[in-house]
Amino acid sequence: MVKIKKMLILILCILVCFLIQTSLLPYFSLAGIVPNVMLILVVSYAYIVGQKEGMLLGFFVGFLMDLFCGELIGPYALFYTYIGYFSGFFHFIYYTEIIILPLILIVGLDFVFNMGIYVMFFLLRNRLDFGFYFSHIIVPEMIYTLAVGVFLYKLLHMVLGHTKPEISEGGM
Amino acid sequence: MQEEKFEIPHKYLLCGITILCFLFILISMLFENSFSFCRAITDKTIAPMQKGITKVCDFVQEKIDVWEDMQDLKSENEALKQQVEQLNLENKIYMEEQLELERLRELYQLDDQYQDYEKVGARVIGTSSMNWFDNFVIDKGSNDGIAVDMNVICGNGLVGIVTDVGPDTAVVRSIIDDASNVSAIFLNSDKLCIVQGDAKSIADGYIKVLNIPKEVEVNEGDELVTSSVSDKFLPGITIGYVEEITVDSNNLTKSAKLYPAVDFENIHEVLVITQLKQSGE
Repeated sequence: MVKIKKMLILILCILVCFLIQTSLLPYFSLAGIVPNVMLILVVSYAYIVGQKEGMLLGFFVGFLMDLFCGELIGPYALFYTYIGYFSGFFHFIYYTEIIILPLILIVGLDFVFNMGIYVMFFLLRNRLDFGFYFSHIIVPEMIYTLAVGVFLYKLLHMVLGHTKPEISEGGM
Repeated sequence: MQEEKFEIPHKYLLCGITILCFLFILISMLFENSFSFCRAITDKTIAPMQKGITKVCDFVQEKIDVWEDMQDLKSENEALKQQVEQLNLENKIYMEEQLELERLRELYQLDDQYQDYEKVGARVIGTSSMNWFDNFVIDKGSNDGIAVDMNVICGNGLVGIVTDVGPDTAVVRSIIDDASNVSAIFLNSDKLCIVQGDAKSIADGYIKVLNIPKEVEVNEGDELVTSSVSDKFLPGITIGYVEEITVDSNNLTKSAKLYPAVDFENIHEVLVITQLKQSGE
């Protein structure tokens, strides 16, 4: 019963974040940039709940994004899985009061994530002007994601706190 | 999601998922529409919600825009009235030419080549949500007769092409997307060139035109339309207008900036041409 409730909360979180990211945020884009809400969700979940759960959520969320973006299925699933896996390492130093660490994780991983996309989809097609992409896409997205992350993490922390397994195994 | 996997160490799980992802990439590369059953599920569940949100947001934005636009519209109306009169005059001249053209076409039996295309209206319900790409999702799918490779237009210009179809949604890749290439011709010549989307330059509002043969006379403001050579794009659709033509360093070709005819910042409704290009067999 408790498990089902946790599951429902999680699915609701995914759904809401997904809808925010794809349909609502384009109306609030600054200079054509939208924040990466799904990344905030995956990082927060992995940090709060645990590595394995974060990884599986990352895979699921990435798969959803892949489906939505069409053409190739898999790259985002891969990226988000690794993001969940990496964030999960920090689960063992999880304290409810600390907000700086997850925010650093969010910004850092958003950078890594965008670097991954740049290398995979742009650099390999001979788009070499990294400076432009860095200053016009990566940095604005990091800043915007951070700004949204401050609020969203607190919110997710409140909601996801209930989905945490009773006996947590910690980091590894 | 978290049943029988309690014993598996995370490392192995990660390896498993990694392999699975690469498998997915491979499958989706090799077989078209291999994940259509998944798309069918999201179309039935998530797409209606996206539709709702988009509708509400559009409504709110419209209300805001109405207030902002009121003053602009008044002055614009004046200018347009003048333009209508002028155009009416020109129209008469064109009518006469049209009659002549029809007569000549009958002679050459070419009239079916330029008939009007069948179109379906669709609403944009989501963007690809990645800042790197310019794809978007529309609320019509295979149930409405949409198929992959159909052309999408908005107003009087080319928007893009359908790259993926679900039952009730379809993904459109716009011509300004970095991976987009369209072969085009200038209205006043029959020489081909390539219109290439560019994530970098679209920040300044333009994309690139490449491979214009050097001997072609090009003036700033010339209109580019899709060529009949392309195997996916129907001929004669306006793409945009060229500016700043430069000769390439190889001294054989020219390139230019292209300002799209469509305002890609504000696309809410698009038209999908349901006629597919007949590729010659």
